[in-house]
Amino acid sequence: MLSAVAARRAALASQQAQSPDASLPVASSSTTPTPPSPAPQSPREKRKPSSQKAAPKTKKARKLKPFEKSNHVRPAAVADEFKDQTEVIEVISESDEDGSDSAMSVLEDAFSGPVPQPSDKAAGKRAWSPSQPLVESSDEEDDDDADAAVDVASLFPRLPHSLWQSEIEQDEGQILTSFDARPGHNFFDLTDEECRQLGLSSKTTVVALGDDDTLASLGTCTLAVLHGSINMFGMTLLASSKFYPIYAPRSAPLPVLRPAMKASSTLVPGNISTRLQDLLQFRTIIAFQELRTNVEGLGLVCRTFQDTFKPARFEKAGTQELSEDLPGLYMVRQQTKECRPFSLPPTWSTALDSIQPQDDMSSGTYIIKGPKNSGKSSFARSLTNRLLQFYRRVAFLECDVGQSEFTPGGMVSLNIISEPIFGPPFTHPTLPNYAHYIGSNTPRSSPSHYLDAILALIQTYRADVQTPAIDDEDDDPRIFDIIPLVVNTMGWSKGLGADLTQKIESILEATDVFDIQVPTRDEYGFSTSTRNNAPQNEYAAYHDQSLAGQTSARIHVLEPVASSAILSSYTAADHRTLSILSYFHAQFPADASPKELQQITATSWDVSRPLCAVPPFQVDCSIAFDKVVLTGAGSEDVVEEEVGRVLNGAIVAFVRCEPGTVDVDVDPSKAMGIPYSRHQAPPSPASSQCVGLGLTRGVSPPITVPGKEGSSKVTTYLQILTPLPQSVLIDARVLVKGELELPVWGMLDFRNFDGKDADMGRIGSVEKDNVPYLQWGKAAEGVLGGDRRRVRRNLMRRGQM
Amino acid sequence: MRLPRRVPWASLAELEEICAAIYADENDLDAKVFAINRISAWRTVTSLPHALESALALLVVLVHDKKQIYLTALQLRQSYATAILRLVNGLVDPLQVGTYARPITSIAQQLGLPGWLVELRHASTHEDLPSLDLLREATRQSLSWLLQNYFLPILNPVSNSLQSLPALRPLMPLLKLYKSTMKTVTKDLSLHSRYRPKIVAILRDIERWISEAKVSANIVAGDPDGSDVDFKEIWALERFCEGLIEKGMLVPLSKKCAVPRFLKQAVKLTDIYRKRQYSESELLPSRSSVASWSHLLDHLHGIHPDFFSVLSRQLTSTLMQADPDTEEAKLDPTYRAYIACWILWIVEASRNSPPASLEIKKQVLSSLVKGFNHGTMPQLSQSMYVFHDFDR
Repeated sequence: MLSAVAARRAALASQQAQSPDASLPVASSSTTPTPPSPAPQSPREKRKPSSQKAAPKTKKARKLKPFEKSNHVRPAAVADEFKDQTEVIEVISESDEDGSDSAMSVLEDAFSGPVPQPSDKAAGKRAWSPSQPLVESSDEEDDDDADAAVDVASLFPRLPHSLWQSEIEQDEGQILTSFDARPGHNFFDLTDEECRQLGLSSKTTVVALGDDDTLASLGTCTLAVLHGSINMFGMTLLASSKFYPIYAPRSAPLPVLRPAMKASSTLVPGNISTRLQDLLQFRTIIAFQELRTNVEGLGLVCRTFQDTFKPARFEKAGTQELSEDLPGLYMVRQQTKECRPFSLPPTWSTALDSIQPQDDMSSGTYIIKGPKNSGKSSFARSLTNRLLQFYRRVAFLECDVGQSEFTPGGMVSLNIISEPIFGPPFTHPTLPNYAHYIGSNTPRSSPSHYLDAILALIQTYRADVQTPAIDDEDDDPRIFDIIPLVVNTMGWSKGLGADLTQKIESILEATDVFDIQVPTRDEYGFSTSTRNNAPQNEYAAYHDQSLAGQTSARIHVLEPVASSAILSSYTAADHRTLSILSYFHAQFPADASPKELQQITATSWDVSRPLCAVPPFQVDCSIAFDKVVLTGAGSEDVVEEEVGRVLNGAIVAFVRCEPGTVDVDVDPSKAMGIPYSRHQAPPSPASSQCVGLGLTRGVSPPITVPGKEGSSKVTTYLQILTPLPQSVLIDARVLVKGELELPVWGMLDFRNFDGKDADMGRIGSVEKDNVPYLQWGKAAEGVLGGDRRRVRRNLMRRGQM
Repeated sequence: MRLPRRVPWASLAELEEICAAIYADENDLDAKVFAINRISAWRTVTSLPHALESALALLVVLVHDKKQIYLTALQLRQSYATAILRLVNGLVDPLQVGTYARPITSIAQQLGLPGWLVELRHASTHEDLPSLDLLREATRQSLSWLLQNYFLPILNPVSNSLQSLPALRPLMPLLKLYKSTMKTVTKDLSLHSRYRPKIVAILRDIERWISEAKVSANIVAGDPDGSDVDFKEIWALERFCEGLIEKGMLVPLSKKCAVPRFLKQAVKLTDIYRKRQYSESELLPSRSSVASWSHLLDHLHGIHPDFFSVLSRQLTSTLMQADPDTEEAKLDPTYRAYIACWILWIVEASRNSPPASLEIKKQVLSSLVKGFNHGTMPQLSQSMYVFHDFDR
């Protein structure tokens, strides 16, 4: 619908037509694409002579620029998928913008200028209203009685989003699993004998998929392709004897297994028992085994994610266990509100298909950017998996400190990945190969430290990772002496966030840029996406003028992931909470240390007891640590006497510094044995590494211990919990506390959740009301300002109704 | 399961210690510095309650001023002004619960925040920085306001519900104005354009009324930090629906009322019953009623997704409460029938969105069934046809 706002903008444009600069408003207004069919116009519009004149003009301008969101001049060649993009964006922007814009316009119009009165001429008759086709018929009805059914809808402001039409529901009921399990035909629970014949260790279920069969799974399992190949999470998995762990909770898009075209097989017909012989007529044969990791137990710790690896209680009908031998794995028949499949938007698969190993021996550097919830992480995972088909290892640089793929939030990290990723981030906590601690879910309060850290990681990648000096140790055909880099950026894509990401992009000199573009609502008459066009933004934060160079990267414009794929029932904060709790409950190999480009990922979780019941390390702070640093806005004001209080219950990062780079300047009399002094900057990323996070669960009061020669010293003991193996902790002698907090779920004792209400808050044997640092229930009556400050950015002004 | 809140203090005794350090002796700067250090440390532990953060900001300037370690008065004025304007903003912002912004002055009034502090906030933000003298006084008043409204209530919780409830603005005049305006408009199309601003203004006023009700809900619930947003919204909508259900609003006032088809045979119909006549075939409210009210209801539901659910609940409970044997009910037998028609209308109106519609049906049915279990049989006949229609 041609909204009144658009019309007025067009009018403005026509007024400005004399001046050469007038093109901006026209261009911006045309981000609302004109649908082909004319919709009823608001009555006010036609009364305005100016808008009437101007309206066709806008249309012209629109036709000239059919897809102008990305129509800006790109510095480099734009990949082909660009075209496919056009349609998608237009459709979405139409539904998105139309309602809201026109809703506002009706009102703005109502208040702009005097209200026209019916003319005197029409006094005797009814005033002619062009916008009301009902006029004639309603004349009669009016005379009737009160029963007049008059369309007065136009009198009411229309709301931005009609909540009636929830567009999310439309995909519900879509068939996800067409596979029909028929035991003895395409489905076998193998006997021990058959497992031995096939060289499989434990109980195995074999499933054969025909050409058109699909299988959507929920839960956990390990999976190996025995024959043929499958597509899953945008990756093609060939036959091999290797079993891959699959984590498919409801809180993330579910994997849908589809037979792929590539032929490969590990099966030797002679080794197969006769009853299984028929299987070979199918395109693909998959083996499933049970996966026991206790990852489901995280749902006990954080009840937001309770039973997330099982079908929702009220959706049992559409899901069933695949086999009795496979507890914890379910087939999902239909798409429902709770279960969404992973799907690869068309532009994504085109972009992924264009990725091939470079001919010259240089490696690819791939950066993914886009606003939050547009699917950056999903794409980065798919891309990493795709690259793992060609390369034995892929480096993953995480710049999103809010929701990191491999590490808990708060740090930027470089991970060397050698196993494909089949699950959401919380199912694969991984020790970073190189990392720096930012200390917050956003780089907002320390942007320059953030940039330094990423710069340091990129330098490390170039120096030590990109072309590793390793020998080809086995007969893996994949490339081993080049490690490509995937860079995931943060979703803060406006203002300072955009400047930071742009800076990263210019440091990186990527070979491929994947730009997920979400149609933006054009509120201010400036198309915000034109910003991307202007790398010569002179006042961009943390930019040197010289940096704004041309890039030679291939740019792939991608569509955002369908909104239905994002489960609205879980917020970003929920995922952060789960991610950090998963980290603290994870079990890493005790002697592991991520050196030599190894990937060390937790494969099990200890959820037998809450964090408050896990035995901690007790360390003498003055001996174990050289320095304690606080970061974050306002941390400068923490005086030495109070630092113990601040460390209590805090999440801290262990940082390893190169010898000689820690300057200790501490007045021991003040800090009670904690090597802290005010105004200390965090260790420079150039000479330090963050090895991981810990939780200081307790801080003792200062204790005086007798020292040598009759002197005495004051010391403070810390009780620390960390999932990190001791080998990596050993030389991490700097403790950094940032703005990250332990989620409240992590402070509670989940063993008491199932009891009565009063028991729920009991922690260990401490009664609910005596638990320190937690306040239950509502604030006392009459307390004002008792809550933390909250910001609402969606408040509308009066004129906007 | 409702989670507890993370607070920086181990027990309220620690907060009390801070309160004493701030307020015990106005001239004891050391105690104030102690409080500043402690609150600063707490700030890095977890985000503070707004009142505490404001107290910190005010104390810091105050100590600066008292110690006379500032360079220029401008620096001091800026610090004072920022502290005060952030105090006011932080108190008011959580109460901007409606879709549209409310004037800060009116929220401050509901909070009992002195009006001149709001003026000072406006001046500090948009006009000349206020004078040092004024700012010092404002800081003194702000600190004592925080003592009375934050520290004392939280340290000495008293559960007296006698606390004066800020009375809600009467809703009836608003609804009456709406009704009469719509009456005019639906009868004469030519008035559309002339009346649109008026209707928009009324809608806005209704929205404002709901916002005000939400703030009152805070105080009713003893939850003034407004953490339970749903509760407030529902409470406010319930109050609004109560107004709607009163006679003369959704149910036309005049005794010229209509009677359901099955009652028609029992009750002798005369011409004066016409007005409350609802569409017989559909058991819906009369067309004129729908014409007058449906747009308001749709509009509100657009803003408040819970509106239809709340309204249907209120309607149903009205249906179940009214004892058919009272004098009043005998005088006006069709009131409840008409109420039932509106319930059906809501179910109809929510048809486009099956989950919501189903939810409303479930809710109405379950409360009706409950009502029947406890209530008397005669009620059945009059409410039963609500059931019938659900089968369609």
